[in-house]
Amino acid sequence: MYLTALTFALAGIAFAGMMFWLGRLLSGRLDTEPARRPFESGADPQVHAWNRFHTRYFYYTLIFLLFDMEMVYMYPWAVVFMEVGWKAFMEMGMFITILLLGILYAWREKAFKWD
Amino acid sequence: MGLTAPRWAKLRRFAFARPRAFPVLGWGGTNLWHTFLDTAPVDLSRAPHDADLLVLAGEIPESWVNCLLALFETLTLPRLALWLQPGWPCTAPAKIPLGFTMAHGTLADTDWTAVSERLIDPQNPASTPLLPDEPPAPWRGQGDHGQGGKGMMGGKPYGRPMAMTMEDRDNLALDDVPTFLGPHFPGLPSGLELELRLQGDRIRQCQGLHNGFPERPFEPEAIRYGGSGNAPALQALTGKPVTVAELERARLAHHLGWMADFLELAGLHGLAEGLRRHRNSTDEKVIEDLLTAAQGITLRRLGQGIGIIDRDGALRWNLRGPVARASGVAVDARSEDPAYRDLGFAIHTETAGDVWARFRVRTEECRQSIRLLKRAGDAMTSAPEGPRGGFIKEQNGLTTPTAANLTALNEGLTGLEWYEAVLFIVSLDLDMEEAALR
Repeated sequence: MYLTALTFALAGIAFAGMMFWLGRLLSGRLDTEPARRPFESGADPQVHAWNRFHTRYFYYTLIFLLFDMEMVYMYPWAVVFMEVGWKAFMEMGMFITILLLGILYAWREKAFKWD
Repeated sequence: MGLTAPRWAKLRRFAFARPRAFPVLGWGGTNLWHTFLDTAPVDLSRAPHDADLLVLAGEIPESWVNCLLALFETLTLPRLALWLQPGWPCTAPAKIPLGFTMAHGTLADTDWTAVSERLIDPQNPASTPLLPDEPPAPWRGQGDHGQGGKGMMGGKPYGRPMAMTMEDRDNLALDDVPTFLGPHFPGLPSGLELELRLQGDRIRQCQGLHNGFPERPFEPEAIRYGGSGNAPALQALTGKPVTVAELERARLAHHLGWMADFLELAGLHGLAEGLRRHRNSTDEKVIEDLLTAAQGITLRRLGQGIGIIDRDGALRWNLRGPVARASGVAVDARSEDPAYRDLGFAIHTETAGDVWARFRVRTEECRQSIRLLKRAGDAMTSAPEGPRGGFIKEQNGLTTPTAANLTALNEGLTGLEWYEAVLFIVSLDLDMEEAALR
């Protein structure tokens, strides 16, 4: 089994390497400083491209985390679901409904806006 | 590097059978470029790193040459520069090694195999570096790790300094990135240069607005420089009446061409292609189908509520043409013209004043032009109303609609997100060539 995995890994690396090599061989590019200049629609860039900006969409991330954790609770639930039956279904339904109210609240607070 | 040996010629021919062209539009360049796209077996490219051909269309102002040389240097190999010569005598752009010069009106007879042979020819003078291999500023070996920087902000990593910080709208100190828009971004008006300050993808401030085209006095023979679609209106301005049909045909072709560019930028390539192909048509059914398709849900969702200019703003900044009419200001030189009055011309206005309203005004004007064309016969008019608005001759020269509408641009950009800014600029339909006329 390990041999198969190793073979696949090596084949993958070899393939990716070949693509890089082919790209270098086929593409004709100039490797000078003026040729590497980023395109800023004609003008010369004044500052380096590294810059810090506000990730205003961080609400997205928080809400995503919330629902990601909800999925974690579903794993133990799924194990006992067949045993417990309808009762488990209703309980999970209630849990998800409460979280859904959270989505509606976040929506009202404009948390799903990009900026 | 790159398979330049003769035995690979077939592969190279196959790979570059349909080269990608990056346009730079000078005086009279817009029409030349559109004709080029119609006839040449090329695809449009939006970035020089992705392009094979640099197409210099029209008369290139001398002040652009250094900038264009730097731009040409960023094209990947193989590369070639073409010059589309305008219909009047002018000097060829300097410094850039021109692979081909195509005289006005000869595009249809061009031997495209010769062009692509020259493109893939490893001996062509464009395939060697044109500029010395120097970084924008010395940085190698400086700083703690040789990265060119000292600490967080100091130094010049890779030859360029870091952006300075500036308070943003919730009082955080965030990088304030000086960004230039134009003068050579396909899809935006050629020659428009904006100095923007960006925080993230939002424009904090527009710090400068320049016209890359040098000013040109408006004499009767300068009509050819007036930008696309303006020739009949400029002729009317010089006192020589034109036919209503001529004026309306120019407006229709211009609006359809503008819509094609707008849709191309919005990512609706098929529709843009259709509009570009039929831009010189006056067939009611064909155009009506295209307009109906263009007014679909995508553009409405994209353009509604963006770049709003209210009626007060339009009046205060003295806006003209479709931009003013989309904000509910009924200005149109044609409404005071007896010929148009006889044809039952009425100004179409919208009230929303956003990108979508400006688009709708133009679609409605296309329909209106078709109706007027049917009834016009050989009626003559002297209304100097171009597709972007009316030209006004004053004591100290000419004021063009673009020059008037540029005020709205300067005011309206602050606080827009990047995609909104691009839509806003395009919706104003600016022509810097026209704005350079005095």
